[in-house]
Amino acid sequence: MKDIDPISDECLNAFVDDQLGAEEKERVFKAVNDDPALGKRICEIRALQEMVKHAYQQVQMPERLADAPRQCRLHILWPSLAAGLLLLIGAGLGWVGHTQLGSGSQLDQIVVSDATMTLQLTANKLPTQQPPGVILHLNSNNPAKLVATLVKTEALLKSYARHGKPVPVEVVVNSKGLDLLRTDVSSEVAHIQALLARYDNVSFLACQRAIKRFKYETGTDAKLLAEALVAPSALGQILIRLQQGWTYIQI
Amino acid sequence: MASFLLQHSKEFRRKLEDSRPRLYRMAFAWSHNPPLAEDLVQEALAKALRHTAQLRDIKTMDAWLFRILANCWRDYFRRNRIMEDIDDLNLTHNVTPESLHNRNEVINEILLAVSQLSEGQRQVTTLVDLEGFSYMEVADILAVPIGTVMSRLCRARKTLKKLLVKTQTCRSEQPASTSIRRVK
Repeated sequence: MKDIDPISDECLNAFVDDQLGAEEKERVFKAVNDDPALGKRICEIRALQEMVKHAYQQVQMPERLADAPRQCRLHILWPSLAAGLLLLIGAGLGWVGHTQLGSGSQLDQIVVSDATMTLQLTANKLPTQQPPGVILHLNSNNPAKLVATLVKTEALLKSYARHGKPVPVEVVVNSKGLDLLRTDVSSEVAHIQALLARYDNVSFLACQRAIKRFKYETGTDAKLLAEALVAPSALGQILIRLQQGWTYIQI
Repeated sequence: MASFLLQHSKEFRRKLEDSRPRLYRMAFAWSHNPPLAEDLVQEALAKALRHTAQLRDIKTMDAWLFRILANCWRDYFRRNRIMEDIDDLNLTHNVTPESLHNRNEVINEILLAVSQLSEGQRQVTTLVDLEGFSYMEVADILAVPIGTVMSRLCRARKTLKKLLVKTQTCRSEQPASTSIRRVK
């Protein structure tokens, strides 16, 4: 008596996806030998699989998700979360960095805590291991933090300049930290412009998502310093710089 | 856990960075909405950094990241109060006339067909076909039984076959003026 097709569609799919055990595979091979129609179905599944794979291989990640910052170009809306997420990243990475520094690990320095940096700067010394760059991150409009950001930036720039090593320093702002670069509310505009005029190795970046969010919430465009650059996202920028071995300082 | 981080920090960061295009492709495959896919990837990466301690073995990082992405995708629906069952939801394909013109026709047909699958079927299909995850891993990523993975995949491929055959049939039935004529 001829078996009623013992190979289910699920089983054929699992065969194509290499999810069957040796015994099951053997059973499918035998069934295919007895029934050419099964072989055709397997070919069809394989073809579908290849087609789907091929179609989505054409999908490329937008450059703005991967690229370094560029001049202001507005894009999509970041509805929420950026500020909180970046805070959490800062906290998480800060913990890692603290552990590394404390243990004297040979791993790259990831994060310098405020205390560490202040100590080093007041001692008029460069950080022990010179990084390829330093990225400072501000996500608050607390006046004390706005001032602290610029004080720390200037201290770093001075320190590096004194030692003849113009390490690039980036200040990236997002969420409420955007206020630092807003000409209509920031009391630090003159200070920023003075830093930019004096040092070639400093740049100020605003998060594009924060800019869009600002517009969404207020209905008006954020009036930013003309010299400010725009990063597609603060998070992306921080990740890129960490990947490049930069030191990350959260204000 | 601290030793894990110390040992794997560099590798973790490198893998995290390398995974971005793949996560984006998957997020796009699920949402067919480029801006939303970007947001989902950013959110998933941020969560990955926040919950690094959850990752016990760096070898399982891929599945872990895609699980986070799947959770972000699910959270997106919750946040937006979409009341349909996520497994039954069909998204419209985000194809503009311009993109239709610019893209290869066959690729568009496949993307269109995938976009017409139910949400659950699309997730399973793309995780298996694009990333090569095992059924067990997909079950883990989506938090569904392995039997569900198998049945969704099976139904998805049947639907895809039907849709693509239909498209081919429609194309072959187009007026003769659109095809190349033989000149003697």
